[in-house]
Amino acid sequence: MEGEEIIKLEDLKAYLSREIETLRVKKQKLEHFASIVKEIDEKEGVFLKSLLKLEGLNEKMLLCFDGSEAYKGLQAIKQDIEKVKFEYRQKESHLQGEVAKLAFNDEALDRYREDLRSFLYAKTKFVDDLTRRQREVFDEAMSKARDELAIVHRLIDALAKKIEGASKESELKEFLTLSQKRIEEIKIELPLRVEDLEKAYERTVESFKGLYERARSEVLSLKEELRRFAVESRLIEEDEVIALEAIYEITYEMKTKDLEFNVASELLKKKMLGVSDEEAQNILLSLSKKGFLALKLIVD
Amino acid sequence: MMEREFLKLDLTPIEKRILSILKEYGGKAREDDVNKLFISAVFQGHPLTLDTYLDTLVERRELERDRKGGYLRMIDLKELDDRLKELRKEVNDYKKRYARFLYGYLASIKRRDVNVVILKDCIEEVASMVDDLDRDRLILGYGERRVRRQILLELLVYQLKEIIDLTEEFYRRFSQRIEEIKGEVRMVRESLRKCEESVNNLRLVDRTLRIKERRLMEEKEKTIKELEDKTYSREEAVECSLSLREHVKSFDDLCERARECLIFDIKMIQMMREYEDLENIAENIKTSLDDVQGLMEDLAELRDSLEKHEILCLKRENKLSSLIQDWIRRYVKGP
Repeated sequence: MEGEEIIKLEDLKAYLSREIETLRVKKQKLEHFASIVKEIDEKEGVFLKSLLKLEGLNEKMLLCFDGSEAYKGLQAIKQDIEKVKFEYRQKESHLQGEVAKLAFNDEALDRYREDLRSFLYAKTKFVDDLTRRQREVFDEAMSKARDELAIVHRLIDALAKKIEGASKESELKEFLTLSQKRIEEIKIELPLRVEDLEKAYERTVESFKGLYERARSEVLSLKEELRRFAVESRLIEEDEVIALEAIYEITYEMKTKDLEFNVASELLKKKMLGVSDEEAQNILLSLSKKGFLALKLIVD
Repeated sequence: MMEREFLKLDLTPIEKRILSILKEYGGKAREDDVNKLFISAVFQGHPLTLDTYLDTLVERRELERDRKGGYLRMIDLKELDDRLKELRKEVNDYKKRYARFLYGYLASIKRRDVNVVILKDCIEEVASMVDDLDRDRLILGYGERRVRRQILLELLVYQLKEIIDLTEEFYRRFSQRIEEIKGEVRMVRESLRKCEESVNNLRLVDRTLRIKERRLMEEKEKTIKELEDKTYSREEAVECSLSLREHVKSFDDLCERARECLIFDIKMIQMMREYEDLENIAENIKTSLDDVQGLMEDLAELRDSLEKHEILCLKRENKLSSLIQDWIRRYVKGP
């Protein structure tokens, strides 16, 4: 400091008041700037969080559905994710270049706010759409797996009711119990909902690899074994067990338990290629006679 | 005060007889025994006694009367000398005690009359009278005049003591009050120092700021110091006391009212007026300092909130908002 200045207390008060006023104005301006940055930051945060979640889940799904039909859909989503990430990086680098050479001014700030607001809105919306698509792919694939599990489960239940007095009864009973247990294990292992996949923190990402196809093939082989065992035990004929599975499948697809005889026969024909009308009707009657189906006669 | 002029008063025959009886008794006798040697008479129904004559003799320092024991005793010269020694000692003590005393200019103002007593002058005058009497008492045949001068001296020392007591009382109240003011002034001076320090720490300007009011206070303190060291002549004291006549009434604890007469210490009143000015200056400064302090706190708080403002301090994870924030930060911080 150079030299001294004599100042009256009244003048000092006035000086301090002016200084305070200047700082208050400055603070108000900073508050305004902060609110703009905060708004951008919040929107950017929402966008990045959604993107990160989408990407993480997609990686898990890609592993989980490796080798399945769903894989293709998920791969397309991955490409879109990369595209969004690229556009975000591009935006960042463009903005970085601009602010480096542009002196700050209020108009430019407002312009950037509007630009970033619309950019983030569009990208967040796109990510939301991808998330929806991802869920659809997942749900569709899992719906098939769920139906297959339910069919096997139902088949086990149906066979379990008929094993009394059958040859190899105790062996069959034990086999059905083990099959039932395995079905339950698969249900636990396979994330049937998106949320289950998201929350599976204790599992390594690698543990998802090929999970879907593995589970489905296990279900299929279990179904094959059940068929074989049931036929060998003379509980049911081979074409009957195939027809019964087909009927289960049809009811799951149609989400009903009641079918008209003719409709059931027609649908069965389509499912079991090379079967005639008479054969299909005979199988249905036989299944009814053996207690696997109930045929009702409704008189109008 | 009469100087070298004396009015000689002879003893009455009864007074002479009382003294001669006491001489016969060896200087000390019971009052009853002396009374018995006089004829009792009754005047207007009341018995005549020796009381009036005895009181006069006591007043003339011829004898001492012990009313409790009922004794009369003649006073000899040695006793008078001892008394004079005591007076000298008392006056010398006053001289020493008030040699450096800065006050003691007492004024008594009536409606049309002003009297001024300068304590130091009084002490000097009485001390000189003590010296004179001490010298003159040795002159042959001076006995009776010496007694009268000693009586007068005793009275003057008594009056001097009254003046001193009054001055001391004024001084006690005055000191108490100015100590209070000095305490307040010390606090304000310290606050001013702290305020200057705080203001300079804020670095509002590139020079060291000094608060002007500090000088105001210093100037007033200088005036007080000059006044404190001042001595007054009698004429100055009279003139001063008249100019203070109206102001004195507002210093109730520093004046005495005896009937129509107002008594006060001129210098103490003058000093107190200056001290009250100083107190007012200090109070005004204190009020302004409180305001300044409040403003400085607001300013410091604002500066702090700006320095710690999120736009300058918060680190953002998200890249786009971080770029915008950095761009604003560079502008706010300046080149």
